[in-house]
Amino acid sequence: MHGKGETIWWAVFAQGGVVAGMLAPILIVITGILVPAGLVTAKGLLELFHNPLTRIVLFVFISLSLFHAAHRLIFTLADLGLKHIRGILAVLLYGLAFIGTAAAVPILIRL
Amino acid sequence: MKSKEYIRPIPATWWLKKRAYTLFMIRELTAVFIAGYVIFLLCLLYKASQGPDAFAGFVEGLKSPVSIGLHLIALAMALYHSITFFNLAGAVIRVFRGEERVPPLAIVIPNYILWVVVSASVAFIAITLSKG
Repeated sequence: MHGKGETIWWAVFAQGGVVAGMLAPILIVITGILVPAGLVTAKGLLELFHNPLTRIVLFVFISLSLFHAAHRLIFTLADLGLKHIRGILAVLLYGLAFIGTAAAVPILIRL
Repeated sequence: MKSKEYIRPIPATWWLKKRAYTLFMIRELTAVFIAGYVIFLLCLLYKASQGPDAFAGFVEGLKSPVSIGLHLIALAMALYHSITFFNLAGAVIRVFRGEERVPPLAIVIPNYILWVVVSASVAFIAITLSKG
């Protein structure tokens, strides 16, 4: 059932699930609740983003979450009847994850 | 004479038939919402890299009802992802001490603990840096 190339994608998916599971809720709380509440300010965020460790963590979160979503979406679309174009979907969706990852690099360097 | 195997056609709406299937589909779709938040985050970080003035304007926009509303939906999805993922980790990660399998909760509970610690730390740092 599983081809020999698929394990790496599953491993990335699994790690992405952990990272997204750990970080997504609190990040959403920060930008969606704490900022409107005034507890987190633009100045505070800029200082936070400037820190190199923060930027590494953000890179890992962004990249792995995108690959996690891509992997999940490929299988979900297959379950919704698009099984026959699974190969194309894989190229498209993993490709988007790569693009998102690449887009993050210059942004994070500039911070 | 060879006979062809019959494969019953499955409608694309199969997941609406049972609650368990629907919850499964919602679980899978949480990943899309997380990806959506990641794209938002990239926009936020891009604005931050463009200087304090551009960024301040963007951050003001986060206080709008639309932004808060979308965030709350994303939060519900992210929480559903975290809970279902950590709970599943107990079933998927199999650790053996000799012949016996370590109880699944021994895998699950540390995940929740780490989740709380990470969340509290990140929030604390963000709030502290925002003071003064």
